Amino acid sequence: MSLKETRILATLLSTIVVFTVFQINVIGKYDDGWFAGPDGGELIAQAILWLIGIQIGATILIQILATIAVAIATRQEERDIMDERDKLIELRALRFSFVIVGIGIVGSLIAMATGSELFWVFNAIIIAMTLGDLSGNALRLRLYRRGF
Amino acid sequence: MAKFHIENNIRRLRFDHDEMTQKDLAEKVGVTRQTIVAIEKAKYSPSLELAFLIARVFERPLEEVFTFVPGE
Repeated sequence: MSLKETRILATLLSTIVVFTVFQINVIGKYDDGWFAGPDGGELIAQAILWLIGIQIGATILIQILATIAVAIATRQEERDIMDERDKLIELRALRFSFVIVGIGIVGSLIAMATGSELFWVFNAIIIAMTLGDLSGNALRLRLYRRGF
Repeated sequence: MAKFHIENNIRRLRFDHDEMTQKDLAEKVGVTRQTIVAIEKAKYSPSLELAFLIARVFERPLEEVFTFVPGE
């Protein structure tokens, strides 16, 4: 497995772990009535900002660790350049991610329009963003491994 | 769109050129080794620019390196 594939796989795994921990945490807080008060919107936004920050930090850390692990395993330094194939894969994956996120945003708007609680509207947006990220990375991995 | 695939002789040409490695070829044309691997296995069709660069490394015309194979 190449460095790029290892990085994508590591990012996929870290996204799943961070998102699962986030969901367990916020749904637990929701059940305890954390977001029910007048400052519920602020608390939800703060929780989401924390998630984004932790996700970015975890991704950077996991990518550094993956790079070191590949360098040790293969005992050679791999050139870290982005060529035409990488750019094409990136474009396809991004387009796919945008479609998933777009569907999720529309879904959250429908949830809002039908009177869902603010917590579930925000959560639908976060789920859509995470699914977009996961599906984009899964597609990247597939295109790298199986070709196109 | 009609089905087709593009075959190539890169592996043989590398061998004929002092057993040039995939890494060496990748460095000469400015792509990653994985892209050369994908092209050799016909899992990726390179851009015209990259195809010309590869042909130039082997000092062969493009059609000696890549062959267009129309589908049935």
